[in-house]
Amino acid sequence: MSPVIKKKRKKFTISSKYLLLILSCFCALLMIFTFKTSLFEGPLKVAASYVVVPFQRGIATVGGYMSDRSKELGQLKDVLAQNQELQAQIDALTIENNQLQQDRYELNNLRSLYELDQAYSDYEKIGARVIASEADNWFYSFTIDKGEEDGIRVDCNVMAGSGLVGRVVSVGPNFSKVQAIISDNSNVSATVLATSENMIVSGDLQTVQQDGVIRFSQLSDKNSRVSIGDKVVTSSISDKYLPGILIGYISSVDTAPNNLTKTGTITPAADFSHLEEVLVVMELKQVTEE
Amino acid sequence: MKRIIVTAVLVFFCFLLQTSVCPWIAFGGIKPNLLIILTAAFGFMSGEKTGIWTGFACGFLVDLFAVYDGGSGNGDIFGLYALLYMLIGYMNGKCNQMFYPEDIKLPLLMIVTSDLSLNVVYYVFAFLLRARLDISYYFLHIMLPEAVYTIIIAFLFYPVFLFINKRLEKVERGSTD
Repeated sequence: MSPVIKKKRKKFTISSKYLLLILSCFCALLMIFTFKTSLFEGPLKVAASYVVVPFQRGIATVGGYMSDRSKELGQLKDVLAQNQELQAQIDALTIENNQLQQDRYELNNLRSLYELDQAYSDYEKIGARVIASEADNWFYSFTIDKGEEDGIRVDCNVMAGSGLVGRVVSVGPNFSKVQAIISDNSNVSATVLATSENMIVSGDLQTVQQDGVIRFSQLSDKNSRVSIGDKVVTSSISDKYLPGILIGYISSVDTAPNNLTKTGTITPAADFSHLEEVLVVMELKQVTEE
Repeated sequence: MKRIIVTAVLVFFCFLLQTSVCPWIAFGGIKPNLLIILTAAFGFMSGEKTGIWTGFACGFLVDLFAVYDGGSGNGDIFGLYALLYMLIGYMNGKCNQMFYPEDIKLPLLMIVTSDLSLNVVYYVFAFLLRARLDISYYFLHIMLPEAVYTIIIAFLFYPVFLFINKRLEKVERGSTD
């Protein structure tokens, strides 16, 4: 080699303006690209599942332990009082239960007569722990510690207790992201149990923050049969949600400006402020082919 | 090299705190924004380029775990937060000349401005375009509380970042001598 080439090369630097320009273009292209396709998601999610999720899971475990302990201390008194109350309730319920069992026997007989299958009473579910939430304050979503490897797929319904929490919007190998029904960009097709009328339930940041309720709209109820406290469940015409899952209870009803339909608010059945464990329903409403 | 590793670890650490610990300390459903503190502080303390890269890394991680799909209906959209955080890092880097380590007022002002501008722009993209028009409500109940909470948290975190930056500068000076 000649000594001319051997001369130490000048370190390659790029001015910050150009760096900003290049990265901005990269971001813009990425936005357009990911808006149209979901090609990048696979590798990125695999990377995230190895790098970020184990740490989040660790923090969630420690946090869950600590919050459990502090809750135990704080709630001991409440629990004792509650215990007495519940004992009384058990007695009342036992009596009621006996009656209901008789009714059920009768119902089963009638059902078999009508050959109705006992649909949507037993969905297969798995439990999952909430390990992280969204980084900003705008949308309500969270990450759970089960993913593709546990059989979860996009659009799986997520419940907590007896109420609907949301649905899985994307899955990685060992985590999945859940969009809550109270998130501002969520819409659920629902039915009022009392009248079997359909409506749209949409999350709304403003009402959730103010009163802890979500909106519903497009309810056709000409004779005003829907009243406050009525149960609202997912409808059978929804293409993402399984039918008959409890969403919440109607807390107010108004007439829409078009004078034809009704709008109002619903109190969700699931407690969104203390979500630690959720149930993922493994069944899908419909399998989309890609 | 040391700076890159330390910054990367800090970004990662702050992101974990932001998503896993901040929900516990959320006040009325509002979380402070640690990542904006990190981006603004590093941009402000050590210039445009550091700001750009820190912001880009922070924003990209946020994008990775965000749920808003821009109404496209096919999963996630990457890049919006990365772009916003990166611009904020750059803007803060522009103010590097005004930086004095003893002064804490100006950095805090920068952090508040950064947080507010990030949220205003994000509101326009994710909410205003979906006809959520009540801007005064969202400003008073989401953006302002977040900015105030972020400032309170910044009193804790900014000195830490300042200390780390000082150590890094000392190491860098040592290696060039």
